[in-house]
Amino acid sequence: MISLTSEQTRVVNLPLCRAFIEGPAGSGKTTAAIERLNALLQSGVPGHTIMIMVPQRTLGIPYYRALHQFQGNGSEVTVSTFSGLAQRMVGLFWPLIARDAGFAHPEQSPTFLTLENAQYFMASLVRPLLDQGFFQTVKVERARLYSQILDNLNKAALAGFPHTEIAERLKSSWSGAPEQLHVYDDVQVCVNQFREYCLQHNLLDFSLQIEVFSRYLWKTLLCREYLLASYRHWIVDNVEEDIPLAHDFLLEVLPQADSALVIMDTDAGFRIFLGADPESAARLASVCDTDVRFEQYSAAPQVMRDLAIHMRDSVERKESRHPVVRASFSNFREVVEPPEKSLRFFPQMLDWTVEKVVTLVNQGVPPGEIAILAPILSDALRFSLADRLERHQIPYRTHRPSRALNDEPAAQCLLTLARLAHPHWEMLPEKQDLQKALLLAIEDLDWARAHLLIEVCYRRQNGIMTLQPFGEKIQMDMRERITHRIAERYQILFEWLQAYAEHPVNELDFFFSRLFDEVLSRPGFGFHTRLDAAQVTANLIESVQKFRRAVQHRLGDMPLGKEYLLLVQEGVISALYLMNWQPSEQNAVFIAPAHTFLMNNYIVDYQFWLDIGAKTWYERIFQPLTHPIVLSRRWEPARKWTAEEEIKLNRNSLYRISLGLLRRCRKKVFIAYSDLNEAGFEQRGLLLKALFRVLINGGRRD
Amino acid sequence: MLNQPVKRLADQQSFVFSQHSLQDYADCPRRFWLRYLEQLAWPAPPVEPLEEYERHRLLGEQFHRLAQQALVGLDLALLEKVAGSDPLLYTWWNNFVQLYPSLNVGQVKKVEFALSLPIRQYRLFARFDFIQMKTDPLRWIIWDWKTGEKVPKVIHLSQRWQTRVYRYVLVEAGKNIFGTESPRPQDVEMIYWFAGAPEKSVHLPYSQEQFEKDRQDILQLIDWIEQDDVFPPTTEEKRCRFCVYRSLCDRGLAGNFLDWEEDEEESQTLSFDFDQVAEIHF
Repeated sequence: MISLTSEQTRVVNLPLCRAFIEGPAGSGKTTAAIERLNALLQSGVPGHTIMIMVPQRTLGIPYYRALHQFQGNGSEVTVSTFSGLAQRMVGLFWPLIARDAGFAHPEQSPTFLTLENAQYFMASLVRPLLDQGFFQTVKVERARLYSQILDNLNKAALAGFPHTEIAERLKSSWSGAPEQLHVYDDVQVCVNQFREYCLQHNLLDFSLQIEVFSRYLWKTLLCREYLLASYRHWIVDNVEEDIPLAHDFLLEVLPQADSALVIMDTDAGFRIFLGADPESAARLASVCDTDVRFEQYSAAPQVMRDLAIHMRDSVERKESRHPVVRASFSNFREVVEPPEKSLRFFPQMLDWTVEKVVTLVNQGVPPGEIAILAPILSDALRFSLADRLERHQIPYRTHRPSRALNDEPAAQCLLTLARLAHPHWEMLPEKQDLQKALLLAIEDLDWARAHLLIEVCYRRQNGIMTLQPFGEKIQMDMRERITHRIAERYQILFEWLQAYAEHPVNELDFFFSRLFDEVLSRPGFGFHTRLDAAQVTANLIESVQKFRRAVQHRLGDMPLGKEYLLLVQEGVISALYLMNWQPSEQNAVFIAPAHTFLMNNYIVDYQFWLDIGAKTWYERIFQPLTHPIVLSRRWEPARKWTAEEEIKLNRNSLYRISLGLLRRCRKKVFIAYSDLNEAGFEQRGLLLKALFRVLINGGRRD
Repeated sequence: MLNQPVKRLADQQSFVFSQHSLQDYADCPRRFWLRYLEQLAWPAPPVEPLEEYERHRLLGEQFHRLAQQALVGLDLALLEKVAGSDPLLYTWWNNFVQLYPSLNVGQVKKVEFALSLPIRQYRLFARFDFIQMKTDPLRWIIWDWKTGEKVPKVIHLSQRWQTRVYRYVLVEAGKNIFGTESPRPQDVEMIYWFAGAPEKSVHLPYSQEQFEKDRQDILQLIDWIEQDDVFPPTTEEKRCRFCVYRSLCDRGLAGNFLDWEEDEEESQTLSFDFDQVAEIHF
């Protein structure tokens, strides 16, 4: 039994009412909400009448765990995001609104598009326009171009304005060179074409799911009554990270509910680039009849909270005018530790970081109480840290939302074999690619033998590379070097591919599934004991399957499997979310981008902030086709976005992120930096400057 | 790892049992271990030909969705147009429409409804296609829509863990949900309704005696699973034809779709509707 503060106890024991809970991160609000959930269930409230709404799936994890441990009988509590609820309702009530929403085939089922599949359709529509001269002045990769056009649609939907206004809004706020205005016009043409195509073919991308729910479905009596009757009790957590449309929906739902807890973190809103709107969230207080402010408890010590206040003023460069500090004599150096000496190179910074982690663990600190945070976590950085930690046998876990398909050796192996099995696609693999594939596919095959095998069995025949049987023509010494066992396994694979070639299938996922079952996962083959390869295969098959089902009404007549492979090559299908969400090993060092850490809502004893000289801690990524703030509900149309606005946004982002991190740290922050960054450039960003200003001027013990 | 089980049930603090997991253990302890304790993805075809299997499975899902839509109040005429997209689906739908008037009555109607209860330190979970409570006489009916090609024998269905778990969970967990009118075993009946052959539907009434036996047997099975540190593969190798792990155990090739008995995909268990919409990444 955990002991609760008086604020938490008050929340747990509230009568059935609508309560607005506000307080800083780490003050125990979610703990109180979980106890309230238990109290509701124990008092006999049926689980199926309770809805827990969170802005992002990871924020539902504490509730999920609590529900697993609940000791009563009951029906199912729903934990959902607003968009998840919208998709579920659109699926259920589709025949009711499909015609009114403008879909051309309301009698047919809808197809919900993944981000990758939406990008595929966008790419199909935009490619011919690029040939006509669209986006000539824009210098970004094609995959990013497509995704930014889609972002515009998403932003319009999340803010609740018509997609037809996107260009006008972007143009009216633009204060730079006039050539950019044509780019926004191009964006509008693409957006309109995409939306029209979706309506013609019953395709629902993320934006259309949200719009159909908000504009059409939520207005129907049947859906409204269904939702209001189904969910009588609402717990809405981290409401400041949710979107204005979700708040609009809750403003209508909550007054009709039997009870509600609306929980808001102060000074948060980390997902502002994703449409989060803390000011909009604050409106929900108006439909609540009780306010509870959490002020008594904080997971972070006073000195850490003082540091946060200093950081705010330092970021805003107010330190000389507003000496803030209640605990101005506390020594911030007790809770902030920089390297003892200047580090020149990035790898040295990583070495220093891991040395400090090792010291902490040797002192008895559980690895789970340590987080290594970077503004952006590249694969190279993740690998470098993981490798160093492994050398010291320190458990770690990473939580990047996605991995690129091409990074997975098992996926590369399968895609290479697919190219080999479909010569009519005219995408036969290079020798070195096939060599890598065979290395993984055939157990006990090493580089040298794989090389020999390719030399004798993958040869040009009638002008095209052809896989050959391991036959009698191969000289004895070569046969001995390759070994009989390897040759036998190769021959099984060869014969399987030959048999397949006689009856190829259109479904690439079926090809993968059969190849896996009948060859690769059998004894003697590489996937039989490599369980990670099986997982990647499963994810690849799922990706292909979703693609196949989504693109029944695609443009062109290229074989579907070939088209999928080309999309992978082009990077359109680049991030396939191969890493599923799983509650993983908890007592392990957590390596993550800072934003991911914040949105997981963990609190740890020790944090490492990597590369604090980097501007990526606060600057938004380059997006020439869209704008997260201008396309938000809060931005007045026609107001100009200026350099001053950009600086203000950067400072605000930095303040929020540093405050959020410090409130989630109990003991110490290690700040890691090197003179040269990962790419070899010097960086002296705002975070570095602000922190040192605080350490030098603000926190010294007198 | 594959030859020596490392994860045991006792290590899984929040394990959720379902009809699927209990049936898997009963059929093949090794499959239970791989699927639920190791959570090992093994993307082999469940049956062949995959094309037939996929078509049938998608139609089955569409039928379940149509039934749900009808039972939450969507206009049947509107749904008929959706059902008309495929002749087989349309046949199933027409059969359902004949049944519909008898479904659309009663004091309790719960569609796609999930119940769970604590059992030992774990939970036992069931998701029902449709639960209906009628008075005069009082009946609690568990409806389960079946769209498979094969109609199993009554004796076989009555012994399936699905039947035993569903009826037991409705009685046990229903106490908290349905208040004073909560279901007693003698008022409960499970109906397997075959969309392609409704005349062959199977009615399985319940009793206090069977309820007690189910409780004992479920606890007994959980005890066995807890004590198991080998999880041997089944000795009935014909079962392996319809098991995706067959290549891991090196046991033959996929069985034929026509010999396969429908087994719905395991739904998300217990309380967490993790949305399928990915977060948008900017």
